Amino acid sequence: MNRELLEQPFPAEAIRQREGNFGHLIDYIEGHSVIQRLNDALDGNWSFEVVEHHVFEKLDEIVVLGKLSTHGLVKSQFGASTIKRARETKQIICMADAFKAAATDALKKCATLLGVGLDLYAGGDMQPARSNRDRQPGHHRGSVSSQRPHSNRPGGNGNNGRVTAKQHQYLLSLARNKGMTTKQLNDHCLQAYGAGLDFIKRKEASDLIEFLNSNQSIPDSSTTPGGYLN
Amino acid sequence: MALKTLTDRLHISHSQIFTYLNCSLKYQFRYVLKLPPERISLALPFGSAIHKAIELYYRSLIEGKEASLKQLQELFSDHLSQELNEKGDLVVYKKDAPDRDSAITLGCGMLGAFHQNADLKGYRVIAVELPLAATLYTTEGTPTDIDLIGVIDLLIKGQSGSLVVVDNKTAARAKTQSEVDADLQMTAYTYLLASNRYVFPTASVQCRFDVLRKLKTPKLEHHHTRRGADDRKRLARIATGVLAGINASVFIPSRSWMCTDCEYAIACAGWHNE
Repeated sequence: MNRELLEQPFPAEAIRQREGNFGHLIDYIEGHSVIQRLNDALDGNWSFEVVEHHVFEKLDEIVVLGKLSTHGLVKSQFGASTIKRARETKQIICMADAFKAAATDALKKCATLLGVGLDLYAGGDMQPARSNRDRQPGHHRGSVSSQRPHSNRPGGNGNNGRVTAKQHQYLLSLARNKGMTTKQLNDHCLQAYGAGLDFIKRKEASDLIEFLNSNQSIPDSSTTPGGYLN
Repeated sequence: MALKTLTDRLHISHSQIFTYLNCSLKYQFRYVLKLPPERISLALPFGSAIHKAIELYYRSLIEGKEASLKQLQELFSDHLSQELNEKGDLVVYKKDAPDRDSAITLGCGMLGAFHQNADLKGYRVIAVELPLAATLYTTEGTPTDIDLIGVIDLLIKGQSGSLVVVDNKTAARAKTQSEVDADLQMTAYTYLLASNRYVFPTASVQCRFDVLRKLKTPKLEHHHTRRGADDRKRLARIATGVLAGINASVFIPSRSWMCTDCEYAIACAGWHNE
């Protein structure tokens, strides 16, 4: 078993992103990349089986318990998938695909217990972490001082792309719920990221969502210059 | 839908597209960094005050009680005075109106020309200051995350039943037909009308610029043009190109006649040293 290879972070091109709840971007590794990593690090000496499966039709969800065995080690984890139904008839489209997706999810979770893609998870709850390579403690604050308001910020896709409409709407509603005006939110974005709310990057939007959801409030910059930003 | 609702969503407007195409650095200063202007050309508050007065006039027609010239002039004077008070020393005057009083005199004269010549015979007013939004699509038909938004000054319907989009302008210089035909603002408006089912997607829409000329003897000029589906397709391609530039943070200065009155001249001069 090559543990170093098992735990080696995946290259950026192997990391995919999808939009999760509340506009959060979730990083993930595709099943084939995990299988390739297991083959490489374990020299093909591993096996995986679904020990149990449960269909929750009312929830449109399948949950399986998977078991990954290698070199005398056994790692078990749950995986899940959503049952897809036809929009019009509400009939199940393909049950087999839902089982396969749940099994792949379980395999990936088991592989995580061996250290595969572990860097994508944070906080100990084994939920995928939104940020990865450049994640640092207190990143929300850290990004503040590293931005120069007049600098041309890097563009492109992924986290460097512009805030999505979904993130934008969620941030506005979060701010409203906290009693902040749009102007206050904008001012905060200008101070923290060097751009108004409409122009912050996806990663920055995710950080801001996390920050506002953590029940911390943004101090009024006019009364506390620099404030928490320092 | 109120303008505030439109701007609460990720959006781009003709004004933003125009600004980016003319000077992307100015776009960054104004929209991304939200820098306060270093100075303000009188033309901006002046045009805004004229606009308010014309809006009052058209709204009064909807209500069936035509506003008098005096009412228009009073609204204009009040609005302009308030704006100039707020902006204070930032305002830059030009020789056609070197101070507040001459600006008010000029504007009142222009409104006189408007009131005398604004003729909507044969037309019915459909909407005044109509705010619209529509998803911006790429030329491949893929929806973007961004709305195109705009507020149409005046929408009127002729006896034939066809709609005419009217935009009010103030200008010292006469508009040429080629300028009118190439103007993206009207294309943006017809994109919004087509997307909101005011007209068919393939319709060729009548458009009209009502230009109040800043002359010793002011006059109102009408410039007619049309916009079709192909124009809207071209606009969508331009707009998505602009969005790509913004997304990639491409913001560079572009020297043109507009630099003379630019509200970010100092920031621009020091930009390369930042």
